[in-house]
Amino acid sequence: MRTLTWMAPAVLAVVVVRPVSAQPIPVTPTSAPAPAPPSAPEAEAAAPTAAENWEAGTVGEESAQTEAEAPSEAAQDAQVPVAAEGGEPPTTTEDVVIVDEQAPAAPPGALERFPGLDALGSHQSHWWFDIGSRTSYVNDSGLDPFGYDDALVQFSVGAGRTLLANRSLSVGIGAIYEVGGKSADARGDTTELLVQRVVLAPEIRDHLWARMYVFARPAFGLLRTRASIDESASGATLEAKNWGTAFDLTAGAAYQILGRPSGEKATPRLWIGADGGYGWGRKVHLEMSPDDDSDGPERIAPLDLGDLTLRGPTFRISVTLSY
Amino acid sequence: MIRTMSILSWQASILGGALVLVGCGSRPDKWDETMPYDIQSIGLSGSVAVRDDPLNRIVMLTSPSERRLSTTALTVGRNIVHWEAGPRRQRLYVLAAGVQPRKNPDDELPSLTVVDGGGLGVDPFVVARYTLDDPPDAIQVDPEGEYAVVTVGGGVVENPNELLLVELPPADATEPLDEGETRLTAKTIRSFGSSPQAITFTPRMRFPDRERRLLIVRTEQEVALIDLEHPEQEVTVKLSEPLAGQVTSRPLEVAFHDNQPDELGLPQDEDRYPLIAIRMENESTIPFLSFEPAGGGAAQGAEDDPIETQGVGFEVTVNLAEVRAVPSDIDFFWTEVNNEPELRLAALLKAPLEGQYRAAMVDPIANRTDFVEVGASYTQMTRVTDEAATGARTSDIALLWGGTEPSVAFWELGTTGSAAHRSIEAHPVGISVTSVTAITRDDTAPEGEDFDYGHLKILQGSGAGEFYVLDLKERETSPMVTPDGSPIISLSPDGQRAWVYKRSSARFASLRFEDLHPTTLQVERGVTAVHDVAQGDEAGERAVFALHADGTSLGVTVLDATDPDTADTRFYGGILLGGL
Repeated sequence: MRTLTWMAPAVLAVVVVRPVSAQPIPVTPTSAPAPAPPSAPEAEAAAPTAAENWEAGTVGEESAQTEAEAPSEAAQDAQVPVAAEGGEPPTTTEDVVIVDEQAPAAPPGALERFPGLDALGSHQSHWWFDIGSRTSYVNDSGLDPFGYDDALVQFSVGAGRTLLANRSLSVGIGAIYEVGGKSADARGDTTELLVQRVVLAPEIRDHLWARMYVFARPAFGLLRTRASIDESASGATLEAKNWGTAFDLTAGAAYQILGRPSGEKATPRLWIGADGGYGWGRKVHLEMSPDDDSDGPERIAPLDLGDLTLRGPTFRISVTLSY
Repeated sequence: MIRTMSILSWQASILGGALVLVGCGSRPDKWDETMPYDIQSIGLSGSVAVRDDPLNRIVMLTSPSERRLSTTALTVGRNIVHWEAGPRRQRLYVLAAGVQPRKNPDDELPSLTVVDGGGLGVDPFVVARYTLDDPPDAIQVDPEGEYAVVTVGGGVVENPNELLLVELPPADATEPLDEGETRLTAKTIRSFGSSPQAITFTPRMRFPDRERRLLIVRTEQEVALIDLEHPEQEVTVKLSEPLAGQVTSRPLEVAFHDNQPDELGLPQDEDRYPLIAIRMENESTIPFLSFEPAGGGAAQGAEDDPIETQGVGFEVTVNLAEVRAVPSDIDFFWTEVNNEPELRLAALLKAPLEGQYRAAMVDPIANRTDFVEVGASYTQMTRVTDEAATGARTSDIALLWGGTEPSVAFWELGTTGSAAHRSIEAHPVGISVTSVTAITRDDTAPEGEDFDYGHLKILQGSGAGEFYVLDLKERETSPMVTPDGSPIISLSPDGQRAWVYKRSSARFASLRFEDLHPTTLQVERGVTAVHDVAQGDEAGERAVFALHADGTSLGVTVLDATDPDTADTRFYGGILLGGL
């Protein structure tokens, strides 16, 4: 658990540092006529790879330039509006982008490139399934019998779907289930706490560029706690099971580490993400009673261990598979 | 706005991670402290106190209603060196050494904490806390609950003759005393080379100048009488040369009497003043102290005067009574001479005189001694007049016990003419009695004489598999056999029953005094202590706590004390987890 706690910010640091230097610049198509497209070999020679773009820190600019120089590829990969032959060129960035999954296939040998923010495609609109680890800092005395520290680490799985997308913004809805706990001893008596959370989590995203987005996620749901103590005077295991409500408000970012640059098709993508915020759980009372199979004396009275309030800052890292 | 949200999102992520990093502090150490191996408890009138030394606290167990138990944790000083209940079992006195050696200003000083045990709807609470300069050794509490004396020790330099005289909170105090309200006086008794060995508090007695309560301090060679209200007023009686007339002899016992016949229903006599007698080790001579108004002619201040007075407005006279053998116990009793009550000092003699075991009866005024046969080698005596007498009396009744004799005896102290009259009524018992326990009752007892069992006494012998209930009124001894061996007897504070148990056995019993009916109970864990406490807020309702301490935990089985039934119990575990 401590390892996870320390790993989390390290992962976060990796995620945070590189985008800061990248300074993504949104694609801004102009109304000027596009230059004549170069021939395919010329375009291939002129267009830097995605990796080169990343290293140059000019993904947006280069993409725009390349698209301008190679309208056929731009139409294929980035879905950047261009002056269609015999048609009116788009004049503003306010136009709604519609992902055209029936776009013509790329010619053989053409390079895939990350799309612009107004043509994110499956980078943005997809199903997702994620697993991760949530660490909460619960500074509550009710947690003391069950843990040597204030960190509550939970395994987290979730799934969801993008519902709406408008240029770089999108809204999705997900469901998250988290389970984890702590174990310790209270003055020699072994204790355990199992915490489960099921929440419905609307998510609003803003893509900084195709392979990275930030998001905010309020979550509402239920909290289930099961606390137990092996009370040695009675020889019985005493338990307290409670339901409560839970609410989270977190924000974070995700970065695509695997997957095709093009968002034209719905393809599997792997993301890593991190988010942090505040988790709120309703206060529950720990009235520890013997379970049905207890071997202890008859009529064991409940052991009152006070209230448990699972609230506090929370941090989550996850790996997300989108499609 | 969207960009702003993005930035905020990043910041939230970073902040969340940072908080998780820096915020994962460890829990308080109290959760890692193991239970005390030998969990000690003291039964009070309305609660049971359980020591939790690792956490410097006392956990008070109370019963708010039927089969319910609640805990109240009270913080006391660190490093408890001694604790005991007051004579009325209403309060608890806890001496703590504090942090030693003290290295920081915040390190706790030695202290005396006075805890009210609550009961009848009142929760236990700390009544007062007295801060001491040096780690305390022991405490002696006034039977009337007004004072306590604390002795200190363990320092680089010790003054063994220094006593800390503590003025205790009033018995009816319902609020904790503020620090400024606590009174503690350091008193160094006058010493002639010895140090205090034992302390006795007297009730209020009328002296020639005024009424006083005395603190009687026995040292190896002296007896000091200190006025509790004016500690600077002191009388010291030197018992070595020339009083004893031989080598130094230690005082073993001090007996006192106010010399007033009002306890016999007669009016007080203003010309009578208290008498104090001192039993000496291996001495057949008993020094008497009598008191006279100042100017009464007592020769004091001479070089060989055994009396040193300081600030008192009366004179002290010492007389010596020779009883021909070393006494094992002394006390004052009323006898009857020519149909008038006369006070005598009775001394049970260890060795037989002329082949008979006798008691010496000393007239403290005429300094004349009569001898009475007592029939056996009794070594102890206890005044039982109030409990054993029927109707008005002009003389006392004493209970004789102890020694090797398997019997007890009632001794009626009367006279015919000027000769001591003896009436010895022996009652054989199957044990050599080593302790006689009185049945007392506190404020939680049900009202009415029907519920007063003061006429019963518990007789116990060393290592015996039985004990006896002695009925002083009926003069009967009822044996109570305990096949499991020598039992521990815990009396209920309301004086209605006794609880009998053996440590670690799951079986224990109640003995109802009303009809001497024992009820055996078997609970599901070994019992380490049994305490009877007031339940709820009405007198008469009682609960009994059977404590189960196994070295790592403490559990309690709660029963109805008035009608105990093992099918109607409640078990409480994790007692020392309460209040954390």
